[in-house]
Amino acid sequence: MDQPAPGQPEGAQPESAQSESAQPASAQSDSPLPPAVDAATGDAGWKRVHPLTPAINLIAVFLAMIAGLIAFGQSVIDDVIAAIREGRTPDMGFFAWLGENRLLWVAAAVVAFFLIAGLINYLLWRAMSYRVDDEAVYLRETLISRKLRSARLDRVQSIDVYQKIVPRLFGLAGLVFDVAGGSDSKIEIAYLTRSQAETLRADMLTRVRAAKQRTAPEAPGTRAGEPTPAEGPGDGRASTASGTGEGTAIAQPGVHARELRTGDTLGARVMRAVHGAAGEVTADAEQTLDEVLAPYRVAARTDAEGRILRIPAHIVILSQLFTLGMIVTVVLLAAAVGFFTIMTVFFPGQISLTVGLSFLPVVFGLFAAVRSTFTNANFSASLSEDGLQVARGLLSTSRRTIRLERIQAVRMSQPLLWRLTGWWKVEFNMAGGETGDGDGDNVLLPVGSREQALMMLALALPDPQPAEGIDAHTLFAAAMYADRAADITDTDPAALSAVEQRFVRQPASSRWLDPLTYRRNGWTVTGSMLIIRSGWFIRQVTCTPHARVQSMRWHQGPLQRRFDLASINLDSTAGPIAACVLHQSIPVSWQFFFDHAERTRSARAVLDGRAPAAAQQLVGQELVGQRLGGQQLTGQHTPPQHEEGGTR
Amino acid sequence: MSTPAPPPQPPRQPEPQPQREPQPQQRAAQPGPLPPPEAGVAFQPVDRRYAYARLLTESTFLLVALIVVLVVGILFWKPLLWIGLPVIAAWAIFAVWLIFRQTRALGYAERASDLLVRHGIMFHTTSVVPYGRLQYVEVSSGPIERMFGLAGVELHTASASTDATIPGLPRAEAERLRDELATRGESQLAGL
Repeated sequence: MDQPAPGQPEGAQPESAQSESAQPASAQSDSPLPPAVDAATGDAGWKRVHPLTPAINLIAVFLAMIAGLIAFGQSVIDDVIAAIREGRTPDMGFFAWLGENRLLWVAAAVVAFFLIAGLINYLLWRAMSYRVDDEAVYLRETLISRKLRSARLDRVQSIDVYQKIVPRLFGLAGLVFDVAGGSDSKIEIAYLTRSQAETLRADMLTRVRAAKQRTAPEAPGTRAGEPTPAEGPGDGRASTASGTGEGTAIAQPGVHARELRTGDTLGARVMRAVHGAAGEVTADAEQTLDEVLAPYRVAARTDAEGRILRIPAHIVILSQLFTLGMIVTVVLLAAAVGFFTIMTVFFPGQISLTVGLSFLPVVFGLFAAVRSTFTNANFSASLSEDGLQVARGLLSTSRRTIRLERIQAVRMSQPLLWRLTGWWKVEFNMAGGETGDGDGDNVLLPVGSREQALMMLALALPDPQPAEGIDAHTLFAAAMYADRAADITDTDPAALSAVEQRFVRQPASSRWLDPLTYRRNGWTVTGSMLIIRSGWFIRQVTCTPHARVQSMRWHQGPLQRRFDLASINLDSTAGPIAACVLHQSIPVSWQFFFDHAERTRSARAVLDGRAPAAAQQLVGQELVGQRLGGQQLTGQHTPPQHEEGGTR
Repeated sequence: MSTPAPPPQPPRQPEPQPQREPQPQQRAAQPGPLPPPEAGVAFQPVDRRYAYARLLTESTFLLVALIVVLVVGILFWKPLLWIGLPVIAAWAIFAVWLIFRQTRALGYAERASDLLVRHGIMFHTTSVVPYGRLQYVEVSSGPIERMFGLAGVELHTASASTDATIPGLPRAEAERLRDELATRGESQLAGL
């Protein structure tokens, strides 16, 4: 796009190329969209990524080479140490040989290596280009075969900027587009300069919003173009989604769900409430936010940069040190280091440097443990039109948008030692949850106070709908702290005991199966969600909105049968949270199973604007009517009243 | 839709598995207003031939084991016959008993807005899968199942942990069920 590289001699060495091309790239970044016609390809709109990209992608190869060199050097050093210890002149072997005759050849080899590396880099760079128009984003690779990947903008779920550590050193960042559904649903534009990536992201978000607005009014029609088309039951057979036999694909509303949905239950409401107010901090925005948070009796303070939450790195690192797994790792590492020191001090000669270096795996293990800490360090969150914007990372930073209305389940947890500091962690499950690269991606709050945890919970599940005479704050105090709630929180004991009444505990017969947790375990149902309280070493509160339950499983094993118990699992989309109503007596378990099936059914109807409770919006109604093809459902539009969910 | 949609709870079918079912029912009766649990739902059993199909699969394994035992026993080490043959016989008897019981324990029920699937005796599971949550429905049948004219229906939701497979249905019934589920799934489709 903007780099001088196409005109450069092909053998440009990466070293020189990098120092030169960094300048034009950053100079260019001021203009939001680089020139539309790419000089090299001549195609309109195709743009190139940063010329260093292939080199950075192949950095692992270079690192492997360096590691090999280090290993070689280490054996030489071992030799030298041994030689000195034995009092003879070290045999410099290879180095002597180098110095004597072939220095020129070695230099030539190094130059040739860089030439070849540069050429490969150039060819790889030329092969990659991307294009963005109003319809879709395209990524083209034309190295050997032409490969074109595209993602329709109205299907794009999220656009995230991420910075891994090596690109970060060069001031580069990547952009990931996540498309609804599928395992290989990501399109990655890497790498651009940081500011280019940010501008492109902002531009893309605008385009995505525009594209979604364009397609929303014709939602039923556009669904035909989806990978799994909604066809008649018989016709769909050929378009089997996967697996062995023939299947009938059923289209999901997916992206359009946000427009279709009229239910006021979830994150959509937050988004509507703060719509337009994001970015610039006004008292208005804070007020609407506070209205959303009101049921939980928490308040959000927005700082100068519009962040509602910021967890400094040292808190995150400290909190990780307080978890059991980390303590065990540290103790093991300390033991290993101590053992090694003792061996070297008292039995010198028995352990060579090589053996010492074999402890490296332990260090790597520790590094892996620390890595998740680093990814969540400097965690900050702010609200935007598209959802909750989360930026995090110490060494490599990433920024992603969590679409609150797609959150399927939320869990708050508190490891044993966090009780000292009153910290909680909040995680979530998300629809199309393969957005992340693993570690800590489903984190809404890596560590924070009870108020912060409640705030994040409130954003994710804004409408708790507790039963009459109970407020959500007290409810969650009881859910988080159980019988210790009165000591820790400021809530009124009388209200707490009233709330405690609503928790269904495990029967006494389960104390043999859950000797530690059976006093704490319990569940309760509000108008919008199921709250499960569990855990003793790690206190957990799992919240599953009724409307988000995928399916449920009542199950009983032989041991449970012995005690007349059964458990019910609530299946959610991929993520760290698996909700389970553990060890209930048989009648309670069956009643919960069937009642909850009914609750989730009516909640789904409300969510989709099918039930009268939420079908006021004309647009929504029309859309739903079209979508159902005029076919009315089986006369169950009135959600049956439930004793627990009476507030609706 | 072929099944009458509103749930007028048809009279309880002769339970295919009498030794287990009365238990929850009796217990349900104790604490007052609880609705009758699983008992109120008429579960459709799967085809009896599914047991034969599974027996056939099982017997191939048994046959291989038998041949190995016979060959090794006769050629190399006689005592193996005395250990191996009773073990295989016991295994065969247990397999027959287990397979018939497991097949009887399988069942499904189409309700107005969801499908119930149950399986297992030792580890009894009853799943409820709302039609509105179905992503796609899959009909599959292996070679042995096909020999018996059987097919299995597998239900997929957005959750990987949804465990709802109805094996051993007659081919026509499997296809009807798939089409039925697809239709209902589309009409009741809920946003994620």
